[in-house]
Amino acid sequence: MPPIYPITLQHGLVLGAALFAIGMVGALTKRNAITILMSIEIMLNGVMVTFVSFARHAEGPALAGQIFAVFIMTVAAADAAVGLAIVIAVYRLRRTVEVDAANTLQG
Amino acid sequence: MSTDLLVAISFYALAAMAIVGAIGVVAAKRIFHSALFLTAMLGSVAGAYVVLGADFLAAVQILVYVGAIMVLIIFGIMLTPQSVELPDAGGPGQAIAGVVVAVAIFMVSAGVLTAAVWPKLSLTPTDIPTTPAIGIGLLTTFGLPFELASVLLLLAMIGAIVVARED
Repeated sequence: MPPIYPITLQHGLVLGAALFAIGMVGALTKRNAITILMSIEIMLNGVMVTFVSFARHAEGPALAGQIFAVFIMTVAAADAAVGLAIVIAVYRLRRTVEVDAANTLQG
Repeated sequence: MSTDLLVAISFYALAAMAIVGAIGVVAAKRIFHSALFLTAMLGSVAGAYVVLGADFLAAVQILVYVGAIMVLIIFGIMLTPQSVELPDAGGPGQAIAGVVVAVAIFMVSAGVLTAAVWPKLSLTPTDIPTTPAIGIGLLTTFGLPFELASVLLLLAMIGAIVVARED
């Protein structure tokens, strides 16, 4: 176990892993499409915390980890926009946001 | 009181708030409460970025996540009125299975990440102003991904309009 303080790389990594796992619980167990989207945002935040921790402790001033986090944020914004558009389209067709209701493509 | 101790205290406080907010998103019964917990969690993560020396990212996190994505999600909630909160999918069995899988993944990843030896680690964390370095990086080393990101955002914008439009 790392020491309580000062804050080391491992503290940030454990925080990132915890956020990822909590978001995963929501993404795996929820039925409401919007809650699932929110859980995925939590998972993406966990990944970004991991990248930022590595950027802080990596050698050299390149900050590649933080630039990666900027790109993750871009992709997160795109997926929130498209995901919510799909949720609204499904709601218009089915009058529900339950993911189990959108099973037309199921074999 | 040393700076290290102050940094540690604020990191632990922000991390606890972020984790409580994340658990609130998953555990809240009403979806609007989930959205409010998510806002708190995103703000705490922005604070954690400050502690981890990423000042530019903290500002972007507030602007993009708390500002834009949360507004989008709340619009999504308002546009799809929900009379009842849906129960967890597949009943308690699936909930337990999901929690078990997530806890297992957390234990494995946290164990590996804390036990691993990182050979290229610098012992003195870099607390430099990050905005110039990120700007230079985005326009030199990461120029192609930067341009691709702009195309991705354009595609997402057009796609969202096409999908959500009334026929």
